[in-house]
Amino acid sequence: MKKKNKLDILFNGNDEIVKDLAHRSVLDKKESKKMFEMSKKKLEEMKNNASSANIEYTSGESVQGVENYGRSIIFRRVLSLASCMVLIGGIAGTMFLLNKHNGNKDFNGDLNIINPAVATTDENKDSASQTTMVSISLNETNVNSDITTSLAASTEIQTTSKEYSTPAVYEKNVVNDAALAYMADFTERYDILCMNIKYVLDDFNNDNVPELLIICDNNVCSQLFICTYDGHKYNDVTPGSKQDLSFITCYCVDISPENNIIRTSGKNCRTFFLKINSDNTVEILDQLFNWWDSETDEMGYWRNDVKITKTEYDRIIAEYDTYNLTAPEYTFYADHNGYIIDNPPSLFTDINVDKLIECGELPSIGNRHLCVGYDMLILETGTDNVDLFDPNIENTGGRAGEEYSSTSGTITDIYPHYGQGRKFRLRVDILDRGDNQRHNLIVADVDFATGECNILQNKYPDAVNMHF
Amino acid sequence: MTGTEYSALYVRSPEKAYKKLFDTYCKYVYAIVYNKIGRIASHEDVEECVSDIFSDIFFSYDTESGYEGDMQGYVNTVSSRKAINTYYKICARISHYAEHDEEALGRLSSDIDVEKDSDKSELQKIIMGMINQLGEPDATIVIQKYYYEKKSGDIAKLLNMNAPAVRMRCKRAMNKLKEKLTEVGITL
Repeated sequence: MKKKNKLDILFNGNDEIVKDLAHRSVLDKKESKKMFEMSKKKLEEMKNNASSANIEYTSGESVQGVENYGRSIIFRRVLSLASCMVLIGGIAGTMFLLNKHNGNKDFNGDLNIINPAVATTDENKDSASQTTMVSISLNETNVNSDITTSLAASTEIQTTSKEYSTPAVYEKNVVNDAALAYMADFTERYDILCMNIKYVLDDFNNDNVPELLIICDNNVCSQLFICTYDGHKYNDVTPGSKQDLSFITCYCVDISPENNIIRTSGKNCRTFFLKINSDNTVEILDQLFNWWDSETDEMGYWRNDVKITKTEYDRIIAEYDTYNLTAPEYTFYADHNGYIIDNPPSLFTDINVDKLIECGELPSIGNRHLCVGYDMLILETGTDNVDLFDPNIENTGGRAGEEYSSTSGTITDIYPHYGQGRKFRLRVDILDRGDNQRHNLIVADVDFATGECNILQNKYPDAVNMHF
Repeated sequence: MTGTEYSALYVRSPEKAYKKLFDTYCKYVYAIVYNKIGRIASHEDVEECVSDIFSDIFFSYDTESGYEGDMQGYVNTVSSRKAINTYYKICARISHYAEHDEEALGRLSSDIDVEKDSDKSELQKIIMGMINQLGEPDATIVIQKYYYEKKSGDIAKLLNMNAPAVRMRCKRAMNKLKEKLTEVGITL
C-alpha cells in the first residue's frame, strides 16, 4: 500500500473522471513503446498457446502441473511453537551476553571502531622458542593469543613489535545515524533557502565509509553539498566556487558511484566534474564554462551555434522514426533567430555514444543534419550510473564557445571569440548490444559556425541492423 | 477509432492496426488501469496490466464481426475488468505478507453502498472541475504530481519545462486549489 496522496479521492472514479484524466499526457514515448512491445510479445505467446492447445493429445506425452499442498493445522501449531521457543532462546541469550559485557567497567571507547590488530613477537633464541602474541582490541577489550614455536638457533633475546595498520571500520547504522544527525539540523546549518532536500549516502572513494551528498533547491536552482565522515560526524567538504560559497549551484547533479565522478551542471552554472579522494578531499577534475548571448541578453539558456529551421527539424525527427531511434522530447529555439538554445535533436540521444573531438580541416558542404548531433560532444552523463564520464579519455569535452587544447588537455572559455567559427572532426561510435562492440559510424569535419559538415565516412545506414 | 477502421487496417497490416489502436487508446487504458489499481500497484504492475489489456484486445477482437461503432466502449469494458482482476491479484499477493487492508478493499466501487458511492462521485466531480479551472499547464502538473506521483523532473520533460519551474508552479497551483476547495467546504 502506498502512502496517502492529496488527490487519492480521484481513485476508482466513474467514466467521466477517467476520461478527464485520460486526455492529459502521462506517458512519454519510451514508456508507450515499452508497453506496446510487451503487448505484442504477450500476443505472440497467446497465439502460440492457442495453437498448442489445438494439437491433439497422443499417447506417451507427459503432462506436468503443480499440486497444491497445505500442511495440517496441528503441524502448523507445532511449528509455530517451535519458532517461538527459538525466538525466546535467542532473546534470552542476547540479554545474557549483554549483561556479561556490561561488567567491564574500564570500557570507555568508541562503540563503532574496531581497533587495528597488533602482533608482538618475542624471539627467545636462548631457549630455542618463539612466542607470538596476537592482540586484537575490540571496543577496548583485548583478546590475546600466545603461540609458541621452537627455534633451532640460540644466541640472544630479541624482541620485535609490529603494528598492522587496518582502516577503521564503522558500523553501518552508526554512520547512517551520523548522516541523519547532519540532515536533522541541515537547514539550521546554512543560512540559505533549502527546499526539497534530497540526499545520497554512498561510498564514492572506496574507503568503506559512505559520503553524504545533499541536494536541495532554492528559489532558482539546486545546491549541492558534499560531506565526509570523520569517525564521529559528517563535515561539509564542498569545494568553494568562484564566489567562495560552500556549495555548488546547479540545476542537475549526475552521480556515478562506480567511477567516483559527480557532475554538476545547469544553465548559467559552471559545470563541475568532481571526485572525492581517499583522504576525503574533493578534487575538481574539470570545469566547463557557460555563457549567454550578451546582445539579446538571453540569460538562462545554453546557446549553440547550430541554426536549424523547423522543416529541417521535422526531417530529422522523421529520420528517427526510420531508424527506430528515440527523438528528444523537447527542443528550445531562440525566437529572434531560430537558433537552438537547448536540447538540440540528436540522432543518437538515447544511445551510448563515445565522443571524440579534434581540430579538423576546412569544412565543405555536407549533410547538415549531422551537425545537430554535436550536443553529444559535451561529456554526456546520465542518471543511471553507468558508463559515464571517463577522465582518461583524451580529447573529450568542448562545445562551441569552449576550446579544447590537445597539448594541455584542458578546456578553456573563448567567450570573446564566440561565434567566430569552430571546426571539429566529429566521430561517433555506437555500442551494438548484439555483439557488444563499438562501431564507428560517422567521421565528419564540422564547422559549427556555419553548420556545414563534410562527411568523411558514413556507415550510418548500418545502424539499422544494430541492436541498441 | 471505429471497428470498421480497425478491421480495414487489420486486413492490410495487423501490425499497423495494433499500433493504431494502441496509440489511440493507450492514454485512456492507462487512465482506467491507474484509476483502479494505482493506489496499491507499482508502476510496473500498471504497465503490465495495460500491456495485458492490449494483448487481450489484439487477440480476441473479432475483425469480422462487422461492428461499425466506436471501439472505446469495448476497450473500456476489457480494461475495467482486467484492472479489477489485477487489483484482486495484487491484494492476494499482499495478503501473503499481511492481512487484507480493508480500507484498500473498500476503495473499489461496490453496489452495496450506493449512497456513499454517489457522494464520492459528486466530490470527485467537484475536485476535478476545480483542477480544470486552474488552467494549463497547472492542472496537468497537479494531476501528475499528486495523482500519478510523478517526479518534477519527469513532469518537466513531458511539458517541455524546467524542473524548478514545475515545482514552483505545482506549489502555487496546489495552494490555489486548496483555497478554492476550502471556499466550497472541502479539505484535501
